[in-house]
Amino acid sequence: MRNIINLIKINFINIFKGMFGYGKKTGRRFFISTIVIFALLYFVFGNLMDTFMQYFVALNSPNYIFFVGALLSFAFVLFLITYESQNYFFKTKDFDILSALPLKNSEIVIAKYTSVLLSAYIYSSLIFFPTIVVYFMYTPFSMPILLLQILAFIFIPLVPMALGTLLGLIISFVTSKLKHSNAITIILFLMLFVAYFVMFFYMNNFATQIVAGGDTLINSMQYYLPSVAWYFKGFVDNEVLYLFLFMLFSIVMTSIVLICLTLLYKKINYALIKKKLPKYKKAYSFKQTSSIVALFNIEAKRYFSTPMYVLNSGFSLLFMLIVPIILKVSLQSFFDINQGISVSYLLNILVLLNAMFAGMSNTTYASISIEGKQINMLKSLPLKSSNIYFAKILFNIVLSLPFILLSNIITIILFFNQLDWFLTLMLFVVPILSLLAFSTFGLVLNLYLPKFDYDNINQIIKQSITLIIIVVLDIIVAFAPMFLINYIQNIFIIFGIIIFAYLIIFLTSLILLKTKGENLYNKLHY
Amino acid sequence: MLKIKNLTKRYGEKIAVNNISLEVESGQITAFIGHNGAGKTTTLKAIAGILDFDEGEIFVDGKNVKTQPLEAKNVIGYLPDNPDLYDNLKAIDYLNFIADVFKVDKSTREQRIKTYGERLKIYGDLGAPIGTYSHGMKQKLAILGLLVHKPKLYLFDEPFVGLDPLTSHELKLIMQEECKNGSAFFYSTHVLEVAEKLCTNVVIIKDGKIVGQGEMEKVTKDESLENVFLELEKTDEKHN
Repeated sequence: MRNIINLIKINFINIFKGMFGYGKKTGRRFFISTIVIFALLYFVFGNLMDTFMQYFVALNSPNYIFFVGALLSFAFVLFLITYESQNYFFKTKDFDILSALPLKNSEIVIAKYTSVLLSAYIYSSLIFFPTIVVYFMYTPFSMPILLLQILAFIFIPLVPMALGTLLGLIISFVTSKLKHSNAITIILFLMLFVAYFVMFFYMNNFATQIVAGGDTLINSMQYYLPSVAWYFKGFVDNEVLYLFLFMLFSIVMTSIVLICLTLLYKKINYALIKKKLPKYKKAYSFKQTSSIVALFNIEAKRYFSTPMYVLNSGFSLLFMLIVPIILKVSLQSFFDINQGISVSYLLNILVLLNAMFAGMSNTTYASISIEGKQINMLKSLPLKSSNIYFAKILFNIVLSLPFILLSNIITIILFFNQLDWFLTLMLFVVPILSLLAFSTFGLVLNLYLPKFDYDNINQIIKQSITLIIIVVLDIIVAFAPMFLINYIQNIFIIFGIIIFAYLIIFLTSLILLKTKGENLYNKLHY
Repeated sequence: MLKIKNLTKRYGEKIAVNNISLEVESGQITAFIGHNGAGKTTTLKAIAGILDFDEGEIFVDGKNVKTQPLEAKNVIGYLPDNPDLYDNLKAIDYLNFIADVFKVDKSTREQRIKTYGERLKIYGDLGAPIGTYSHGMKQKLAILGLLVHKPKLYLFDEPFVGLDPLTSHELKLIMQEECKNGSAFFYSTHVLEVAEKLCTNVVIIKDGKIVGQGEMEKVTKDESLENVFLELEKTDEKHN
């Protein structure tokens, strides 16, 4: 027990120091930024649950919000933990050290599992806490219900956590045996993401079916999502048997996965580490290129070899392609629910959404940090800092621009009759400006806030302060005008403001790179 | 080839390198020795343009490292103590990247990579991703990366660590050949026996200050380099 507690302590210190750094100033900065982003996320999910709650209240079945909350939480945690668990259990830097210590596999596994469980609780809380708040916005407050839901929350992430870890284990093991393991991992996760998104998008219809189906639907769900169904029957319908069944099932699933991990932990890690030098059959190429092209190629190879990096920006790029299609497919049902909203209003929103996705496809926010220990080698080379910056920004643009153009072509084809010349122009101008603005701004930010001493690439790709700032600013710049649309009816002015905002970000970033870029580069070192 | 004048580097209140001056001429192999934390790596990084420094000047082939950084780096080849290379690249891609940066033409790079790759016994594995390499192989690759562009000044930080005996021997031969061609080597090491046999000059640093420097024969006289080094360490302790 003492070993487990010590290992958990070490893991948490490592995670938090990795996120917050060792300096009080950087730690405080990151802490405040984290609070801000979480507040934003709770607000966004709260609004989402509020939308569902309005359906359920209208149909006189408010309790079903808990079913939707549990279901979304299940899917959310399952997806994210599948993605995240691989980096905590397999091919970790501490494997050799821990294996050499007098520690049982079970102790190591339990400690690591606890670390990942923390993430699962955080992800689950993003949906479940707003669910509880929204429920009590529409129903009289009840302490017993609140306490019951808090008790339920302790168990809700356990099953998706267990399944996500198992899935992550399988994906890790299988892809490690395949030649293009990185590409396969990326494609698998993107497919999972698309499936999740489609399911999520159709929750509107599903919500109505839940109420219409009632107990019959919940009962039938026991066979493929027992934890969600039993949670609802136990903690919402107050059927005591299902309450205990849900808790027992959660504990049993967790135990099974822990046992599997304990038995396989070292075997899988050995299998992943053991790699002979691959035989290279082709003749070596000695083609000469310019240093900018060479730097660009390094960026590209590093990006596509790091699944986490690809997925982080890949989701936004995929969204850009999917959203116009889903909008077209669900257009009629959308208008049935939201009367008074015109197609051109939706298309204006689509322009802003694409701009937001273009900003979120940013790769430069981590492109300095990701150099890691190689920064010293890079700095010893006769390379102008401006060339290094240009290659990084260019890569981001070359990556995202085709998706913007393709998304616009899809939109034009699907909404040909509803698009006027101005909106068509904005479809191209606004997202491209967003891409330019955030690709330069991301780099400036990373130059001011570099982090080279990371153990886990998650620390700079998913948990970095630069990502938080980029996401928050991107959402504000894209969404703020959506509120203005209610007050300023002139669409030319709205888009003028947005274009102005992106231009300011882009030009300011360019000026900073030009005037301070060299100095900032000189200060970088590992 | 290398001229350091009154170099000082501080990390906050700690003075890592304290007002050091030294010179390395073309054709010299200079060992840079000192205890852990003496300031060797800091000095090497300052010369290579990786670290900024607080006072003093550094000239490489007459170029000021601060005011003419690109010109200076064009004639420097830096080998870190731990060669952290791009794990996701194939070794040949890394070598081509270095050759592109130094504008080495196709035929020259091909010839050098083949020649030195075979001597370092790594040529056959250049198609593999660097991430699959052992530490020793990464070290070989990093050395090969320098030989592709043949710098005038080689800065090595513990170059022999991780190398097998055959490769160590080959590296020593290469260093001697390059010196005959006019290059200079300035390298930090803890392996004093090798330094004594290989190097023409030595610089000894302790707690950021130079406590001994000059031609190897004159510094060591009839004693071993190890004894000289230990004596200098003891002398300073007595004074303290």
